[in-house]
Amino acid sequence: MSNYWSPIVRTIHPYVPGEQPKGLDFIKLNTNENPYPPSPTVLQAIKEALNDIRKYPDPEGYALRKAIGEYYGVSHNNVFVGNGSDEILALSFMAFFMGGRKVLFPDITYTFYEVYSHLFGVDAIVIPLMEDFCIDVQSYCKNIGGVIIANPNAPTGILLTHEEIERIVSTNQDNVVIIDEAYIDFGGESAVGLIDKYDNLLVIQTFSKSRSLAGLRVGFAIGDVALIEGLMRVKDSFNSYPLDRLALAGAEASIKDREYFETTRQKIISTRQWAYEKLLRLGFSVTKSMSNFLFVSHDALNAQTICDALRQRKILVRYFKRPRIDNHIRITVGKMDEMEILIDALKDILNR
Amino acid sequence: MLKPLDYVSQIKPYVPGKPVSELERELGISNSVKLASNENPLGPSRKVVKAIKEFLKNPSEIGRYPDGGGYYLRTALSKAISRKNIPLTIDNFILGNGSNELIDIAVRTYMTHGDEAVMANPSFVVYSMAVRSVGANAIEIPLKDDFSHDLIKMSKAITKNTKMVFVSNPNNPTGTINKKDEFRRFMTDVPDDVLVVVDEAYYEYVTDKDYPDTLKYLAKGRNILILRTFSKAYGLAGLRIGYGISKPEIITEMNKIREPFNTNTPSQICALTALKDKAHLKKSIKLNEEGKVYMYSELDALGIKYIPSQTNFIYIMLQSSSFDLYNALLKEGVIIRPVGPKEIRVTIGLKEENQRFIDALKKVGIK
Ligand SMILES: Cc1ncc(COP(=O)(O)O)c(C=O)c1O
Ligand SMILES: Cc1ncc(COP(=O)(O)O)c(C=O)c1O
Repeated sequence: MSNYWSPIVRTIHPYVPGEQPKGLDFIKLNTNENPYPPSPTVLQAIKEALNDIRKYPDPEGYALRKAIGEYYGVSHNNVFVGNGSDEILALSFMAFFMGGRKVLFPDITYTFYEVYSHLFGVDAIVIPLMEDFCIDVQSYCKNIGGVIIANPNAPTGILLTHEEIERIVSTNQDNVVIIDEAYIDFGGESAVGLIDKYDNLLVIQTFSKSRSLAGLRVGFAIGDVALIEGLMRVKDSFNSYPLDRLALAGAEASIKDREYFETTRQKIISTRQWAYEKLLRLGFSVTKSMSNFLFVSHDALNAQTICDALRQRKILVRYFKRPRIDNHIRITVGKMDEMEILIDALKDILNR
Repeated sequence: MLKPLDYVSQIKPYVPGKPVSELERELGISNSVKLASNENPLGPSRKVVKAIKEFLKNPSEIGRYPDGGGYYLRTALSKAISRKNIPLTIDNFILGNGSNELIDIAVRTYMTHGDEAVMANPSFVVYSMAVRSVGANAIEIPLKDDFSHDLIKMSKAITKNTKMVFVSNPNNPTGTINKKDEFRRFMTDVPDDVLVVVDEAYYEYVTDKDYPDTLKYLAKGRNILILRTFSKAYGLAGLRIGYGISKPEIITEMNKIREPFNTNTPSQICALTALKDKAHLKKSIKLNEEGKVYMYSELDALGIKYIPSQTNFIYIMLQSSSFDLYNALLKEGVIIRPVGPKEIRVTIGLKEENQRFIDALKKVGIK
């Protein structure tokens, strides 16, 4: 049978998700999840939605799109919702890049861009980050293919300015520019404000990070109606109902509760700041992260060793065995008490 | 100028049905019954609702990514479906965002430009859509006079370009099955380098003793993918979860295409709980059987032609426009599905819902 597998499938390197250990005694700082539970209104909304789970959900996700539109001051026709932003990224490759176009993204970024360009047979132009891990903005301003930029970038956490984003979007009139804002709520300004001006801009966000809904799988995209319709068409060509009733209801309640959202994201931002300073004092190099994780390395001990030593102390962080970053670790910002335990553990490991 | 890819332009935009609430508002009616989407009128086991409420007691869990491997659910499925002579393990199972997503994953795993897939017509529309979306050709073979798949013609339609054959068994929208003997012959005729996808979305409702036991072909090492769902008899359409059963080699390849977190945590919990409540499944099937008996006798009395069903819906053949009947029934607050110029599909509902449908039919007086 293997002779009949499409050539693409044979060569795919599947994404390996961060470890999800069984048992409750690990401090999980490895998957960029939010340490705080979602808003209580989310729980209530899910309970109410249980009454209708025998029925197929709304294939258009109208109520959720409307709520997201209201949050950002755009029409629901500018909003697309999907089964996690991963799904939206996949649909975007199919709608905007497949069939001979190229796509540009950095060498060090969310690994799915590479996985998807391979999977959908799209030629990738991989542009190395600069020495300091910043994105080389000029290289993306050539209008030679689609662009995907995570802003802030993962796993570095480094943010491009609004002006830099606009420069990339405005110089790529013939190509779709995707700004993946999975972590934008932890200190950046969304590019959504630019969609009126640029019909080639698609902003993708997720409920998995700043809104504590990773278990529900909800992401969304905002852009010109023509881009949104492109995504709808591709979605409807094979799975009309990817978002279930509980996810739709939970996400809608979440985006409507602005107060709760503000409180939890501010907590994460201030915990990040605290941990950032502590890590510097321990001699770590730390990027200027504007996300819910810190990207660090240490001159005295290699990353793999630190990672293993933390694991023995029941703390999980993420290590990527990839060129250029194989001496770094990514630490998700947890609750304050978890970060205190982390810092103590690192002190111990470093003998300080 | 920004242009969508050609194949995107060619896709017909989806025209979704209006939500019931919207229809009710427009028509000034209330209390309408929807017999259009083959959902279980009883809903899921009550234990499902309890399990989610239990899960919500630890709200931080919603903030965690789901178990991308669906370990507990796949293990439970392998235990529930294994038989003495057909042992199955977790490696025989893949979970999908509805069985719908698994159709798409299978197509994208094995098909590309210029390939062909053979399927019946009319059958579930997603097969041809998924096949065309990768630039492959959907070869559609008309149903036989008895409205089941023409398996002989389908196997003859296989060429060197054929990668996949779809068998919807039972078939949506006709509710018919293909039986053991013809299926056995079909499996003999299909070359081994073609993947046979048997969509058993309505498996639990089938009562015919001659329904093929597709697991046997899996046990023999054939390249077969069996698709089932929690949307129908288990009453979980709102949650989007289904599963595929196949050889580990095939599951492994499909898993490469599957997004790692395609089924969310609540849907895995609900499916696991629903699977264990055998009494509720039985109750759902019994209600469906009683509904069928009632509908048949009323339709017979009205002289309306239909095809006896192995599912939770009935395919009805009219002498006049199905869209006229659809509109007329809508005004009576009964929503059904036109599936051809003179054909409709009606889901079997609760006793009173079935009565509403029959009463409305009598009132609007269309044959
Ligand atoms: C940059 C980036 N984009 C997208 C995602 C996927 O998020 P979702 O949970 O919405 O699929 C992640 C998750 O880690 C991410 O880091
Ligand atoms: C034959 C058939 N297969 C698959 C499906 C998809 O079911 P789901 O995606 O809800 O599992 C349906 C639903 O109507 C169907 O009728």
